[in-house]
Amino acid sequence: MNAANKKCVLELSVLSLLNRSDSSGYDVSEHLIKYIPITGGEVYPILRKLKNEGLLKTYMRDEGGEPPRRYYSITQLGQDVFFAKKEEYLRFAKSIEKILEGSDYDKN
Amino acid sequence: MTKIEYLQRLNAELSKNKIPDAEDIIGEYEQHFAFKLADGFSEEEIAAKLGTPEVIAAQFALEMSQANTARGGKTFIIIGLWFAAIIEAMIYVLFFAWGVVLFAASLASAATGAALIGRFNIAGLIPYMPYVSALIFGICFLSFAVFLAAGAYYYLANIKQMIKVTIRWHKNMISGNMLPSLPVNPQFSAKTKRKLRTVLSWSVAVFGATFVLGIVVAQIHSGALEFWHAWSWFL
Repeated sequence: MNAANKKCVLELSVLSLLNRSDSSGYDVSEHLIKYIPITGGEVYPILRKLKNEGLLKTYMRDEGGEPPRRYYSITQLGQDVFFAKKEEYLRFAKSIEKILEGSDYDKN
Repeated sequence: MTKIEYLQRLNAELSKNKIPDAEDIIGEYEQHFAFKLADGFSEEEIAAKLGTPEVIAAQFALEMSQANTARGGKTFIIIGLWFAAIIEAMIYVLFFAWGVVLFAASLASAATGAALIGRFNIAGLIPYMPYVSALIFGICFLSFAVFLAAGAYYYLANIKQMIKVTIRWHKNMISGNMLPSLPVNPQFSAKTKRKLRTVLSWSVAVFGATFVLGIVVAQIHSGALEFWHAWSWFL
């Protein structure tokens, strides 16, 4: 089960955010920092890895006057991987929760 | 650390680790600074919250080395996959050919049925029989044609799904991603499934009924069990 380590959880979170809407690397970083203890710079290596794997693609977006910003969007492959890993992770998390809460104990 | 210092150190660390497209990465961090500065943070604060350039560069290097080792071991896999692909392609061509045969048989059966019902005796190929028998056998051939066509459709859908499964497997082997493998059976909508089942069972039923009925009627009409001799079909 590889979804257990932090890196995989981060990747899954990034895919989830980008599955909702295209964002700049900064937006992804700012959003994740609110929920997960990481430094602001840690998200960019993950974005790059996912892009190299073909799960994300980038494009430049002009926003009036300012220099164009790099935006990330999820690919079809990215969506497939996201839904598969999400299922896998949620199932895993539910099992762990049962063990931690002790609710697995009554049944045995 | 100021913005300039941070970006310079990051650049130095990236080139030390031989990370490709370092300008793109620097651009991302520059953008990060720009947003944070606009929010009123000082350059020192922002740099401290980003994590040190050494750690960041090490993370990029880690991603890259993982990708490289994965690629190194892949040469053999890719060669193997090519061989597999050649064999798979041959098998699927063979399978596909059988689907074509089924369709051709269906067309032939439909043509025979139409000729019997429409009384076209092309080149005298159809032997003598009274029109009642021709009508019943015609319907028999037509229903057989429908059955074959529906069967061929289902068969080809199966092959299409098998090809999809194979392609997914190849993609997984090459990318190292584990996409869930696809189901082997063709994925029809419930409506299509119902229709297909209705067509198949009705065509079989009509075929069986008209086949038996046709023979019985021919026997009665000719007054002989072996009506084909009575009508001198094979002389």
